[in-house]
Amino acid sequence: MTPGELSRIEDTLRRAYGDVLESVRREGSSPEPHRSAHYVATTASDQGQPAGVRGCRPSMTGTARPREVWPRRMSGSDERAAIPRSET
Amino acid sequence: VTEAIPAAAHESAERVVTELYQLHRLGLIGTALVLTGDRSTAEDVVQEAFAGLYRAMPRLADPDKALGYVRASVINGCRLVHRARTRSLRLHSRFRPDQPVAWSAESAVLAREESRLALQAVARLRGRAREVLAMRYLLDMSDGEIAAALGVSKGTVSSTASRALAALARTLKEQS
Repeated sequence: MTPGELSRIEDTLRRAYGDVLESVRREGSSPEPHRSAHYVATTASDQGQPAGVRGCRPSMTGTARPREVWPRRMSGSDERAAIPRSET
Repeated sequence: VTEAIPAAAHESAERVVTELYQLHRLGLIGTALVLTGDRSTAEDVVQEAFAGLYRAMPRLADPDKALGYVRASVINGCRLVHRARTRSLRLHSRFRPDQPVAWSAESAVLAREESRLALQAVARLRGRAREVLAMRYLLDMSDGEIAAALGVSKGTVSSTASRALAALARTLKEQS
């Protein structure tokens, strides 16, 4: 490829990527980073626990629930009713 | 065993992450859009990368490396998306290696026909080549920064870019 061709293809690529950025700018995006569940858990009053450390159990406060509670809570709730019978 | 993270460290990490997000989100979403082909997936990948950065901040020895970390996370996130899609398409027997795996209706929003054709040609390149081109020409990263983000040598970045540009030029010439 000659230097002229290289320069032309680089310009084409820059313009194409510029158009992509322009479309992103035009459509807008969230001005703040969203907080994933873990993000919230480690920033709220709960200080969180280091992931992957042996012996550390998940927090019992907030949205986290002990594993054994799930079946009983789910069985009588509306959430359970919303699950199609074929998937249960 | 539990190591409590001081509230001040949380605030500092949150400030750094928010500042980086506000400065670099458009470029990173654009990069993820080029690599994944659809806007909502691109935004998800970028948000996940910033959530990952927040989690990693207490372990990140040098906060100046946060941008490099989040750029590498976006590239990794796009690879995961691409891998999952390829697997799914193969499963449904619709995968055709001669066609880009994903460049959807997003391309329709691009004003210039020339840009649309160029991006379709980019989408036909191999994964590493697409990543190098996006990082070099969309994020304006140096070859050294790209090499560090991808975990390869500068020579590999340079040769990948030059092969990709040559392939791109050939494809566009055939189309014209």
